[in-house]
Amino acid sequence: MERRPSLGIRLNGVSKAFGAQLALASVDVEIAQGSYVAVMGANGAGKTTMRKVIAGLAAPTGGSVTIAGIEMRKAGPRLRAQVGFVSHETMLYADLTARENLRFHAKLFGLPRPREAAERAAERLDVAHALDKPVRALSRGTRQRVALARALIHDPSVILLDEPYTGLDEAAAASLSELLEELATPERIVMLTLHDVVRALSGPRRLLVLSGGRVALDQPVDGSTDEMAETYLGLLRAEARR
Amino acid sequence: MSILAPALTIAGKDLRLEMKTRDVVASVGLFVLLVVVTASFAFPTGGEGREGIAAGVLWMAFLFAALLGMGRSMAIEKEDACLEGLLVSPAPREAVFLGKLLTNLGFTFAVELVILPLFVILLQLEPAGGALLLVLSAFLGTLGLVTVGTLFAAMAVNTRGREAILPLLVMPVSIPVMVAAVKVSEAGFAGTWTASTTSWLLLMVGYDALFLLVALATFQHVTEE
Repeated sequence: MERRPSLGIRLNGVSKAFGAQLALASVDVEIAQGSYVAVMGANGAGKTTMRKVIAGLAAPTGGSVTIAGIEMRKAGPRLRAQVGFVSHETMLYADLTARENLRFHAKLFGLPRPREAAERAAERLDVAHALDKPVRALSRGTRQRVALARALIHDPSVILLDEPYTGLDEAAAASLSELLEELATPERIVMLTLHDVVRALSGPRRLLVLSGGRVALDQPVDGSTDEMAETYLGLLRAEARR
Repeated sequence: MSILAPALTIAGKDLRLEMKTRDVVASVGLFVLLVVVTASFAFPTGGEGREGIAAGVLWMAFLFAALLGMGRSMAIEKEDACLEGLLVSPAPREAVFLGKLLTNLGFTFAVELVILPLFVILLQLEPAGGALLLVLSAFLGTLGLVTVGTLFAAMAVNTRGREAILPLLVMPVSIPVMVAAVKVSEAGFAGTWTASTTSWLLLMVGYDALFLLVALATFQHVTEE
C-alpha cells in the first residue's frame, strides 16, 4: 500500500535577500505534523519573511521550502488548500460584511456550500452575531476573529499565524490561545510568530528564535520556561547591542 | 481548479464592493465626463480633421480614466493585505490576474459606453455607420490598456508613489494599442471602414492577445516577493 507523505514543513538552507538586506540566511528547519511552534525574534529577525516563504508568497533566494515533500511555490491547488494563513492585517475587505467576506473566501477555496461554510466558520469563532455588519464597523477583536474564521473556513492542516494577538484585549487574547490549543491536533501544524514571550511559552510546544535571519534557538517548550525566557531575552539584548 | 470560476468569483466580489462604495465608477466616470465637457467647448465646430482630433481627445480621456480605475482597483487589494489573501488561496495566480482584468475591463468599458454617445452629441460629430467601429475600438483598446495596466498595477502596488509609477510603466508600452485605437475611432467618427482600418483593428487584436499571454505567464513572478 502506498504511504501518504506526512504533512511536514521543511526549510532546506533557505535564504532570502531583499537587495543587499539578508532577511533569512541559510535556515534549516523541520516542522513535523502535529507541531505547535512559536517563532520569535526581534523586529527584522526574519519571522514574517519565513512565514511568507513557507506560504509561497515570497520566493527564496536560495534553498527550498517543502510541505509534504512538495515545493510550495510549485504546489498545486490541493496542497495550497491545506494552508490557512493569518496575517496581523485582516485580509478582509472592509466595505463588505463579514458574511460576504467569508462567503467569498469559501468560494475561492472551492467549498461546496459557501453560504453554509461561512455560517459554520462564524459560529466556530463566535462571530455569528457580526455576520451582517461591514467589517469596517467591527471592533478590532471581532475583526481578528472574523479573520481567523476566514483562514480556517476550509479546515486547513497547516495554520500559519503572524502576530495574531496584535490589538486584542486580554479576554480576546485568552480566547485566541484556547482556540489555538484546540487547533493544535496531531494532524495539524500550527505555527505562529509573536513577540510576547509569556504567550510563546504557555501554549506552543516548540520555540524557534530567529536572530539576524538565522535560527538562534530551537528547542521544545518544557518545564524550564523561566530559563527559556531568560535565554530569549539574552538573545534580544545581544542583538540590540549589535 | 479551473481558472474561470475563481476569476469570476474575484470579479463578482469587486462588483459587489463597487455597488457599495461606487469608488471606481464614480471617479472614473466623473473624470471622463469632465474631459469630454471641457473638450466640447474648445472643439472646432467645422472643418477638416475634426474626427482625428476627437479620437485623440477621447483616447487621452480613456487612458487616464483606465489608469485611475486600475490604480484604485489594486489599492483595494493592498488595504488590509487582501491581495495576500487571494495569493494564498488555491486559486491559480492566472485566475487572480484574470479576475482583476475582468473587473478593470468591465468598469472602464461600462463608463466608456455611457460616455461615447455623450461625446458624439457634445462635439456634434456624425459617425453615421461608424458606431460599431467606435464600440469595437473602445473594447479592443481598453482590453489592451487594462491587460498591461493590471499587470503593472500588481507590480506597483507595493511601491511608494504607486499612483505616479503606474502611468510611467503603462504609457510607453501602450503606445501601439493607443495609436491603433485612435485610428480606428477616427474611422468610426468619419463613418468609413477602409483596408487600413482593418489593419489597425488586427493590430489591436494581436496586441491584446500577445500581452494577455505575457501577463498570464508573468503574473506569478510579479506578485511574488
